[in-house]
Amino acid sequence: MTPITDPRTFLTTAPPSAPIWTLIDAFDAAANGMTNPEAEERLEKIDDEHFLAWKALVHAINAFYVDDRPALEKAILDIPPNSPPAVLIPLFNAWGGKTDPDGGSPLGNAGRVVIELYKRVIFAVHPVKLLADQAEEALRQGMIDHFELMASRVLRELHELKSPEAVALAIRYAQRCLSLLDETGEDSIDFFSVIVRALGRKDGLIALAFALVGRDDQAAASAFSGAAQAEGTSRFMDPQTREIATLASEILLEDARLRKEAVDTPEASTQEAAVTEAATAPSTTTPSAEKLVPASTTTARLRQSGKASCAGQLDLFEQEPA
Amino acid sequence: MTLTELKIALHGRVPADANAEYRKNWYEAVDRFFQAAQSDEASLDELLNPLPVKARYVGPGPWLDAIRDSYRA
Repeated sequence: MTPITDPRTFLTTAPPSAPIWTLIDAFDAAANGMTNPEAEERLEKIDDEHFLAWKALVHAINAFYVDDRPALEKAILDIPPNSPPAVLIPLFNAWGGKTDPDGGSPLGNAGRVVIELYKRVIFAVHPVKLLADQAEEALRQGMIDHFELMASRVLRELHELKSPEAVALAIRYAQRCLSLLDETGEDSIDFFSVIVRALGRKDGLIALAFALVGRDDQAAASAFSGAAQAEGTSRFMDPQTREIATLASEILLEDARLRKEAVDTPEASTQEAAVTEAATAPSTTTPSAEKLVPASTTTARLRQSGKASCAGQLDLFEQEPA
Repeated sequence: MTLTELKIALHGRVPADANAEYRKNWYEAVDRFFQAAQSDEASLDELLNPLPVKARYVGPGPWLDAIRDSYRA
């Protein structure tokens, strides 16, 4: 049987019930980023060998657009190597960052039209990066509402990406926003609420906790503890992460207590080394005097301002961990 | 306390009698946890470098054209 090189050639002759229509409907939906559950359901019922390569290609394109790499790997394996859709395998491999056995790009063996297609479907710069650049420019120009709007979109889009690194990336970006707002002295927005709306309470508190470590360790401890105990869904927190967050809270509180004791005693200088050793064992980090300085002006200002990026939320979780 | 010190302290919380596999899993879990921590020195480019390549929707035509024009039976 002649392999299908272009399903469109059957459109004028295929009867309405022919599976080629199902394939075309599902293919159109995948290539346009639309959902067509009815076509997808019908596609899964097709087991005619003549269509299997194209069925796998629809799966591959769907996975490609939602950045679902395991699903894409599986779909590629389902495309017979000598079938017409197999000419696109180099494109999928290049997108996934794979290299050939000789270390070159998989596109090196692809046809010119496939290379052109790759250039057409791939953004040179990720749209989220462009948005983040615009958000920071807005902040530099003092356009705070604009910054809040775009940073919120960046947070949401990062948090919704399917790649395994995306959630951590969203949490790191939230810390960057808090830090930028802190540097500019901007206190007209409650950015912690923006973070919570975008990431949820648990992941938002993790972001805040990391942002506070080294600035106000007690507040950081409360945020870690709050994240571990908060209700709601989280893409970052699992039972082990919750255990680590709880331990992080305990370590920070214990460290703060030991430092306070060291400052309060006449032998503070000699006890400082012991404090650091106790807190970070088996750390080899050299203690420094600045570690004995209490909360930085950063957090002090956050605490003083009811509208600062996160100060308004600090009291909500500043309870001693259980 | 710095993030590095906190990470070292968390590594150190593995039970003293833990076997090698438990110890390795614990260290990896702590390292994964700290993948969500952001260094103040990192630029926006460095921060967003792990972003996957983003694909744009171009409709079915270019895909089908590429297959038709590239396939040699």
